[in-house]
Amino acid sequence: MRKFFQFRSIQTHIIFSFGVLLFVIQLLLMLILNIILSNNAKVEIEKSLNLSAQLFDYISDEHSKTLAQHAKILVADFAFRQAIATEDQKTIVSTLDNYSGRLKADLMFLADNQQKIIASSSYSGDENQSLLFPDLLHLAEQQGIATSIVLINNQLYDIVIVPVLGPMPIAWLASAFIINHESIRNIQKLIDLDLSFFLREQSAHSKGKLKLLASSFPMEEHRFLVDSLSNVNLDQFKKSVELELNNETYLAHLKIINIDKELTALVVIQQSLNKALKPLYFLQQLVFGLGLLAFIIALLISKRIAKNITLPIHTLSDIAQRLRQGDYSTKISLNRVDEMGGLAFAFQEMANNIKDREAKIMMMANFDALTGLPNRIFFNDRLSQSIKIAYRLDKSLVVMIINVNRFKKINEIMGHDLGNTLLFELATRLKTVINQDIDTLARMGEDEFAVLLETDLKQAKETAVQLLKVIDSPIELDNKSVLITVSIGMSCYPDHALDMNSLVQKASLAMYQAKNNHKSCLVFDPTFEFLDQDHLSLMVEIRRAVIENEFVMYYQPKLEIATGIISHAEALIRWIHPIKGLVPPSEFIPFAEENDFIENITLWAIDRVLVQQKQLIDVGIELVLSINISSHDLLIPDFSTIIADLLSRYQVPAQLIILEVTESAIMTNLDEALIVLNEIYKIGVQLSVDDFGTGYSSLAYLKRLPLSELKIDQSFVFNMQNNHFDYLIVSSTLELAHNMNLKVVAEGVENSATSELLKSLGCDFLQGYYICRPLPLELLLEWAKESIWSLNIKRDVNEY
Amino acid sequence: MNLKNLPCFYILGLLALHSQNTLAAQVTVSVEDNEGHLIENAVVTATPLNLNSLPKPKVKKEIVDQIDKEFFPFIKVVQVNTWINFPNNDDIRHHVYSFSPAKRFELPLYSGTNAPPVLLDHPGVVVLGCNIHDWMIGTIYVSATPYFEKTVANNKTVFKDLPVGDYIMKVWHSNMLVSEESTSKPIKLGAKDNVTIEWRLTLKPEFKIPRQSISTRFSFY
Repeated sequence: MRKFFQFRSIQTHIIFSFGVLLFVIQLLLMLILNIILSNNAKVEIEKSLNLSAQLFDYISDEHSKTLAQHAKILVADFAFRQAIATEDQKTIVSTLDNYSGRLKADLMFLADNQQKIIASSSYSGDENQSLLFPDLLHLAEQQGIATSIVLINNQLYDIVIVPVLGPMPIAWLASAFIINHESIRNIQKLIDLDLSFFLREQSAHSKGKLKLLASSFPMEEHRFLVDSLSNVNLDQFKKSVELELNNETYLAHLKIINIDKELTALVVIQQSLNKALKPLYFLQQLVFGLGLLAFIIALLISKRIAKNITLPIHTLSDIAQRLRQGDYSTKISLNRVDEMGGLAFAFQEMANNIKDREAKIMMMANFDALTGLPNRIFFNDRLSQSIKIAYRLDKSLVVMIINVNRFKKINEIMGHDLGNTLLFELATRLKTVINQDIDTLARMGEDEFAVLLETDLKQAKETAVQLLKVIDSPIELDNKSVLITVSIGMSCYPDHALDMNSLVQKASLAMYQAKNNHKSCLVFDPTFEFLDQDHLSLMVEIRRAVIENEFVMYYQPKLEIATGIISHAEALIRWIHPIKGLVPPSEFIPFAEENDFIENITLWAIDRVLVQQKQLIDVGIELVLSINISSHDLLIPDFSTIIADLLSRYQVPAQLIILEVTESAIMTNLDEALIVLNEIYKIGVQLSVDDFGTGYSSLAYLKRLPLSELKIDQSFVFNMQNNHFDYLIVSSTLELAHNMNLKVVAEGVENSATSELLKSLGCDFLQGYYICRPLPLELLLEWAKESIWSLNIKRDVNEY
Repeated sequence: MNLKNLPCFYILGLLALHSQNTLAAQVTVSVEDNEGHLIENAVVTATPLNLNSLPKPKVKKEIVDQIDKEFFPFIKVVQVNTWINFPNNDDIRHHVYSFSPAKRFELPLYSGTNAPPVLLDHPGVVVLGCNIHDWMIGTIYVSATPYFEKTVANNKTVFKDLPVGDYIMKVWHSNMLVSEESTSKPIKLGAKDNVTIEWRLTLKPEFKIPRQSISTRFSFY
C-alpha cells in the first residue's frame, strides 16, 4: 500500500492530495446537501400531501354541505311538504324527479318514518323496500342531517339525508351523488393530486380485498393501482405510504371511510415523488455541476500551486546538479521573496561557502595556516618547476633552509601559543626581505623555513645577511623581549644537486652543520655529507654497543690525602668501537643524552660498576666507586628503587657507591633532583657534586642537598698556581665545603705542585693524571701494586 | 263524530259530575321512563267503553298562543269539537299549519288575532308547525274522551271522580316509540275505588330543530 502512494513527482503528489481532499470535501458537502434537500423535499412533499388531503376533506365537506343545503332548501318547500303530507304518490315522484334535476343528484328517494321507501327518482329498486342505510337515517334523526359515502349497486355515492318536516319529520329525503372517474377528476383539478377510491371488503372470506371504484388516473393505469396498494398493510393504518406505480414512486395519503361494518372506502391521494422531486433533482444536478466545476477549478489551481512550488525546486535541483559537478558560476536567484526564494538564497550562500571552503582547502593543501606562507608541498612543487626552467635557461638556483635555534626549548618555556606568535612574527620579518613575486618563501615544518632564490650563491649570501639582520632584533611577546637566533643552510643548483629532493636535503645538511658549529649560515659542502652519515649511524651503533657490551668501565683513582691511600675511584665509561677503536665519551654521551638514550647507558654503567665492586669486595679491596649520572637519569622513574635492587642483587654495601651529579644537572630540574637525590641518600648511597663551580649554582641550594662530597672542576684546579682568582675559588670552596661538612675532591691534579698546594689548603681527595690516568680495573690493580700509593686492602691480596 | 250527539254526551258528563261523590272512583297514574323518572307532557286518557253512548260534547273554545316564536303551550290537550284560536303575540307574522291527518289546515301569514279559529272535530294528534319558523312545533292532542290528563314532572297524575264503569286507559307521548293503542289498559272502576296504573315508556330523543335566532344575529343594527 505504501508503494502505491509513493509519487515520482511532488507536483503529482500535491495535485493528487489536493484532488483527494477536495473530492472528499465535495462528496461530503454533496451528501450533506443531498440529505438536507431530500429530507426537506420529503417534508415538503408530505406537507403538501397533507395539505392536499385536508383540501380534499374540505372540498368533500363543502360539497356535502352544499348538497345538504340544497336538500334542506328543497325539503323546506311548503308545497313539497304538503304533497308528501297528503301522500299523493304521483305528485311526490314527479316532485322528486324535478328536484333531483335541480340538485343534479344522481339519485333521490323518499323514505317514511318507518324507513320505507315511499318514492324515488331514477331508482330502479323496489318500492316499499327499506331504506338501505338505517344508521344514516338514525344519524339524520339525531342531527337533522346525515351525509356519508354509500355503496349502491356497486357504485359509490355521496349521500345526504334530510328530514321532511311537517313540522315533525314526516319523511326522509335522500339525495345521492355518484362518485366516479369523472367526478373525481373534478376534485383532482382542484387539489392538483391524483386520487382514487377503493372499496375494501372487511368480511371474513374476502378480507382486505380491494376494488377500484373511481380514480383520477387514466384508465390504462387502473390495473396497476390495486397492485401498488397490495403491498401496503392497511390494517396497520398509516397516514402516508410510498407506492410504486408504473415504475414511478408516489407518496400516498390514505383515508379510510367506513361505509358499514363490512365495507370501507379507501381514499388514496397520491403524489408522484418524481414530479415533486423535480426541483430537488434540478438542485442536485446544480450542486453536482457546481461541485464538479469547483473541483476542476481547484485542481487547476492546485496544479498551478504545485507548479509554483515544483518549478523552483526543479531549478534548484538543476543548480544542485551543477554544484555537484563543481560549477559554482551559476547565479542562483529565483526572484522570489517566499521560502523558495529563501532556499535559493541559502543555495547561493552554500555555493559561495563551498567555493570559499574549496579555496581554503586548496590553500591549506598548499599553504601554511599559521603564517600564510606556502608549505612544503607547494615549495617542492615550485622548486621542481624552477629546476626545469633553470635547466632550460642555464641559470642557477639557491635553496635556503632556515631553522630557529632552540625553538623546542622556547616552546616549552613560553608555551605553544607564544611559540606560534613567535613563528608568525619571524615569518613576517622574513617576508620583508624575500621578494615573493620572484622568490619563494615557505614554511617547511614546525620551526623550519625555506627560501627558493632564483639567483646565484653570491647574491644568496647577501640575502642571508639581510635575513639574519632582520631576525637579530628582539621580538616582543607578551611583554617579554625574546631574541632568537637561526641557523641557515644553503645549497645551490646546479653546483650541489640537480633534483629537488637533493637540493632540500643538502641545504638542510648545511643548516644542521651550521647549528652544530654554532654558525648562523653555512653553504653546503660535500664533507658535511660524510659527517651527517656518521651522525645518523651513531645511534644505531650506541644501541648495538649496549647489547654487545662494547662499553667498558675505566676507573681513575682518588688519593685520600689524610691516609695516603687510594680509597676512592671514579668510574668512567669508554666505548671500544670494533672499527673506530676507542671512542671518547664526549663523542657519544651528549648524543645519547640528546636522543634520550643516556639512561640505558647509565643503567648499564651502574650494573657494570656494581659487578666489579662485588669482585673487589670478594678479593678484599675496599674501594669506593663513584658513577657519573646525567641530569636525564634523575628523571628515570623509581631511579632509587632500581639502584637499591641492584645493590641488593650484587650484595654491595651502599656506602661503597657514590653517585656524581653535575651541578648543572641538579640545577636544570632542581625540585625533581631534590626528591630523587633524597631518596638515593636514604638508601645509603653517597652523593657528590661534579664540576662544581661551573654551574653558577647558589650555595643556598647546595645546603638543601643531601651531599657528602664536592668536586672542584679541573678548570679551576688546572691554573690555580698561576691564577689567583682560580686559587681563591678553590680555597674558598674548600673552606665553604668543609664548613658544610663536605669532603672535597680536586680534579685535574697534574703535578706535584698543585698536589702540594691542595694538600696545604686541606683538600680531602686528589684526582688527576698526577695520581693516575683512568684505567680498566685489572690494570688499575696492577698499577697499585707498583704505585707509591696503596689500595685499602682489608684481606690478603697477594694473588694480585 | 257527529255534532248531533253532543247534547247527549254533555248530559252524561253532567251526570257523571253529579255523581262524583257517590259513584266515583280515583285513578292514580304514573308514567315513567326506563330509569323510573316521571315523564311530563304525556297525555293519559281514560276512555269509557261506552264512549259512543255518551252524548256528544259541547263545542268549546281554546287557544294555542304563539309567544316568542314558540307555540304555547306546546302540548295542548282538548276534547274533540273544540275550536282553537291561534293568537299571535309576536310582532312578526306566523304561518301556522298542520299536515296531521286529524286536522289539516293552514293559516297563511297573519298577525295578532286575525286568524280564524280552527275546529278540531276529529280525535287524534294535530302537529302544529310554522312555515316560517321550522323549530316552532306544537302539538294538540284531540281527545275522544272527556277524561284526560297531561302529566307533570314532579307528581303523579290523578284522575279524581271517574264515574264507576269500564275504561280503556291509554298514554301518549310525542316521542314514544310504541303506538298509543299498544299502551291500552282496561280497568273496571267500582265506587270509591282507588286504582293505580303505571306505564313505563321508552322515549326516543326529542326531535328538535335548532332555533334560528335571526333577530339576535342582526342585533347590532
